[in-house]
Amino acid sequence: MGAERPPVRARSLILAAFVGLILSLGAASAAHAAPAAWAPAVDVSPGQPGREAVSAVAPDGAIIAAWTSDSSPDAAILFATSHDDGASWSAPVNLSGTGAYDASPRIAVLDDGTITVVFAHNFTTVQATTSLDDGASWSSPRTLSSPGVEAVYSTVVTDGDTFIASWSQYTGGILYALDVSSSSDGLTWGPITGRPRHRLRAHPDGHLVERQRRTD
Amino acid sequence: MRTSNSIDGGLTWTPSSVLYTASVNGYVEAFVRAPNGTVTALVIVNDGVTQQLLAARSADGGLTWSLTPLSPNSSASTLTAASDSALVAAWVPIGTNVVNFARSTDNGETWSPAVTATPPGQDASAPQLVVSPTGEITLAFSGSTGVSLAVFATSSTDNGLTWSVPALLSSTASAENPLILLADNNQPVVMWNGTRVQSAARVLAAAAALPATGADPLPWLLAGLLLVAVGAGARLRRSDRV
Repeated sequence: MGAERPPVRARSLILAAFVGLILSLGAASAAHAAPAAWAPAVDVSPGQPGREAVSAVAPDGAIIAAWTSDSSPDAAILFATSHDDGASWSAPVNLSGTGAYDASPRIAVLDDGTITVVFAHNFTTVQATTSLDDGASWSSPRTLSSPGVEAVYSTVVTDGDTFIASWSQYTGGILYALDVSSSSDGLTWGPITGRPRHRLRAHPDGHLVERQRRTD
Repeated sequence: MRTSNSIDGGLTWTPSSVLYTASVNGYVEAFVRAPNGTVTALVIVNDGVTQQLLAARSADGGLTWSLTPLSPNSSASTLTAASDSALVAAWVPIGTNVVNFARSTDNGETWSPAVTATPPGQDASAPQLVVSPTGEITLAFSGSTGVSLAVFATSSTDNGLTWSVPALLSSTASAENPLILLADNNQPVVMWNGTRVQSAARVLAAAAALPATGADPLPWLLAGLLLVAVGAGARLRRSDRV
């Protein structure tokens, strides 16, 4: 004969213990949170390598990005836009001329949507190109740095209605000197000196900060 | 290491002031300026043996600085504002290959104890942080799949005390140097270099009902077992009534 079945109360206790065990194991596993859900990676530079990517969010919510694309012996600055929070990207636009080595882009956008990309041109000069139509078309690159002076380590920031570009000048063999240029439209650049103060709109933090790395 | 400050759009600049005098060299990794004017910077200083990571804080527009050690030997750090007074920082202690995280709620004056945000053995480097308006912190970093360089992201919803299992974002043979930003929908987007320039966007919560590839299956298994147990209990009670 088979073993006698336990009474109903005992079976209920066994069932409750089993359920409790299951719940406690579940709680313990929840301490190791699963990865957050991310969409699959999408190509911003389909079919071609890229480096030195930079990006920003435009006032209309678009994500704008620029990067360096090598095609030895040349290199070019490419640009693309995402209007769906990074889910997809426009076809890259080449901001560089032919036969140049353009690299190290920096990007900034004004409150009115004007986009400027500042970059190093042929290892010697700092150039800027600007779009007034959300990146659809771009101005011819303008040289910001002084002729005959090697310029490196460029960057660009904005207070909302003015671009401030800066770079280091390599002069006298070892001396690095900071130089700056500003523009309210990305098309005409000039020294900051003499800017009417009433044109200045405070950035949320009210300041512009330059970061440099020196090892000398 | 010196700083100079402009409050008129770069028209004029203050005389430079000393932030730190490093015995060999030093450099500033990141700056954040709080709405109350306090400037906090992450600074790496090198004495020829170690690379100490310091949090430098100035409440007078950069004229004077106070320094708080964050890590005795570190590289690759990042600093981001989490709110008006909260800052989050991440760095890689040299030789550990993990990313450490700390948070300040007083504009960099004091910092929480460091928490390791990435698993050991993932060869983590190049951390980048972003904080959503809801307070969720997302950390993107370069790492290794064991075969190739890759880009990962992990997140924390408890101010950095615990972190999710890192999600593998990249899909190319080589990926590194992530950068991260908040998209217009307040979700993080990570972009990186490598075989190609790629990006990945965080999926909105409404679209994230299904676990992502690689999600921990244990909770789902337990949920299934629980359903079995409930069903067995129901049959038991029916048999008791017979």
